[in-house]
Amino acid sequence: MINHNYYNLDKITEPIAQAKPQIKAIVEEVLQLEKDRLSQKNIRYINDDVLKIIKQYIQ
Amino acid sequence: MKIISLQLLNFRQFYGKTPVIYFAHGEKNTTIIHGNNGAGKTTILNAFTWVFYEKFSAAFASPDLLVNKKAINEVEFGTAIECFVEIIFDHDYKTYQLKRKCFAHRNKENKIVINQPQLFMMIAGDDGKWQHPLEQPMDIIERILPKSLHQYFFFDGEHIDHLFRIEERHKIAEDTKELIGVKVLERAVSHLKNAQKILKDELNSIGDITITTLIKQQKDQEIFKIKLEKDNNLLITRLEQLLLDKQSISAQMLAMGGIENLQVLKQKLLTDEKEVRKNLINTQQAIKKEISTRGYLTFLSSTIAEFNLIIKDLRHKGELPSGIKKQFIEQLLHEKKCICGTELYPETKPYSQVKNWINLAGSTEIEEAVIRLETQVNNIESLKNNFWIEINKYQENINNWRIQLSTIEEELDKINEQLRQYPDHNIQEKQRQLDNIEQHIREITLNQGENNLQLENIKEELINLEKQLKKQEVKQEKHSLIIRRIQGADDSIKCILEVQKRLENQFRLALEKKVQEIFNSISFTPYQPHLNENYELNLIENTSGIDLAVAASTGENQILSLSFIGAIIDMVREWSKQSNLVGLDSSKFPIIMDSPFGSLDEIYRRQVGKSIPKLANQLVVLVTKTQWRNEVETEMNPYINKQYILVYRSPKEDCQEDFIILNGEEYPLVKKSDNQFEYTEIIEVNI
Repeated sequence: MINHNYYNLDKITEPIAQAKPQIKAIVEEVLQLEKDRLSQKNIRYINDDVLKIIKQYIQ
Repeated sequence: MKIISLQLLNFRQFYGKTPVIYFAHGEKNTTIIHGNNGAGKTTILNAFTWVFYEKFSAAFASPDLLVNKKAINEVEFGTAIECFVEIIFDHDYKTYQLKRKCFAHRNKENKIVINQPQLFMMIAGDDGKWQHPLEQPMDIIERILPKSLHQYFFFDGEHIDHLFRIEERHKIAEDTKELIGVKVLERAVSHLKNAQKILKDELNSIGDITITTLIKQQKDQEIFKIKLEKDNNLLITRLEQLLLDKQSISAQMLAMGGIENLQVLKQKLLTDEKEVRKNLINTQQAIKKEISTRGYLTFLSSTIAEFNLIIKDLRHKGELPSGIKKQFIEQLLHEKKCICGTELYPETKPYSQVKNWINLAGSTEIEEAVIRLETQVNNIESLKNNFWIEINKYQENINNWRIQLSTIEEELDKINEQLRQYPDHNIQEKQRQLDNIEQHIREITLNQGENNLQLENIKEELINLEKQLKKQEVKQEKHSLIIRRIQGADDSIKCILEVQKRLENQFRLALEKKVQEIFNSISFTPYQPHLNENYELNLIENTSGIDLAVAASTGENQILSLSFIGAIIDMVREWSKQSNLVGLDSSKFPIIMDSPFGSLDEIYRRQVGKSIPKLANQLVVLVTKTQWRNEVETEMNPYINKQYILVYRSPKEDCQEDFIILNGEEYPLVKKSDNQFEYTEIIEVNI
């Protein structure tokens, strides 16, 4: 009954796909990190980890 | 997530261990659990929320009475009774066994005391071995099915319209955002901003970059240095020329008649002057060398006096040289005999008395060291005297050279004066030229000195500037790197915000369409559900061409809520299938629904019965006999794979027994209890 797609995923993630390579890499890694930590109450050091990702890709 | 089975032990009205309830899945995805009012349908729904989140639904009466009363009363005071809910489910190719259990007992006041429930989890992977998880069970559950969303998966069908009460609306927006992964995006933005702030602090700590000023200073100094060097070269050439002129005039004068003797004497005096000046310089250097190598001796006087005082004091006290030597006492102890003849054996009094002297006696080595030190100190004293003798000698020499030099200069002045006054005009002229040249040489030498000093300063300044520049270059490199990183964080934030904006817009519009689709498939009214920016769901009527809000009936609200839940589950299922970037890691969700047809009329019940098995991957419906009527049974039958009956055992004397006929077979719904307690049994229906 409910099989239609009412949204276009590519359109939603277009800003990531079209970003500069290092921005794309940062966004993807930060989102993965957030997703992994979403369930954890303890998000200590997450700022440091995000900073590490930025430093890793922009040298 | 796919739920496999549920089992209860002494949980509420379920006495003892229930049979395992297995849930339907796949093509025929529906499980029906029948039970009359009070039999435990709501308890089954709450078993799910309790085992997953330690929560109960709003309609659950007395959550304190967790443990079965019959079981507690059967044992003595103080004896604990176990109560648990165990669920097994599959998720992402792993099987999870989740068990929450607690213990309860009656205390002496006959009150029931329940201890803190505990949660246990075991996971079996591809190898089939059960293992304890590395993470906290609650963290794992949160990741699979977040607590805040449980009301969409486990709900009381009669009260689902409560979902859309005004005070709950903002929660729906939040929950929906979490479902589609907006929370991940929001947190990413917030943490990127924090990282950006740390980078800005780093930038501030570097401070201002002054590299441009330094480069300008360096250039100016270089130009000045070149000019000075050029000037210096000119001075050198000029000086060389003047010296040649001087030499040539002196030679000419030497050849002139009448003044040969004077000239010879003058040449000799000039040679002597050179010699004396050389001696003066040498002696001055010798003094400098003497001071730098032996000058320290002059500062030792007070230290030497102090040392002598210490030694004198030690001698005065008789500690130097000491009367008795350690070595002497050690020898006595070794020979086991004192000088008075007393025998010395360990553990005896004379032995310990003599042994005690070891601590009082002096050491030969210390005495020897002191003697060596004294000799060296006395030596320093004589070295100091020698130093002054040398210095005085040099000073005397310098004085002598100076006297000699002034005599030579005086004589030279006299000769020059004689030559200036000489009757021969030629000679007078030559001497004047010579005087001029000398004057020039003096001036040029002075200029040269000044130039050289400036050059030295500039060279030093240039070295200094070079160092500063290097430091600034490193700083500038860091500076621009941090700026690029801040910009990178900014670009990442903008990118995520744009994704979030598109996601929220598109998701909300798509969700609205899906709600409309489901609502229209159930409802026969011409109304359209609308979902605004705040996720507020309203029914709109548009028969006159103008949007008008409809005051929805309870039944319509139930259908509306059901449509919303169905739409959310379907959207998230589709969404998580396609996007691994945000959202939940699952594309399957079960629905556990308690009495879903409460206020609906026959037509709606039929429509709902037809629709709900398609809303979720797995459906568990808890129904009463009256709710399970022909039209519902007919519509849901194609999807049913498992059915269970909750048989209520009533302690009432005049209990009116009840039964239900399923697939042509009669099953008990209410039976008389065989004791004074009410309890519920679970039996499976033959399909």
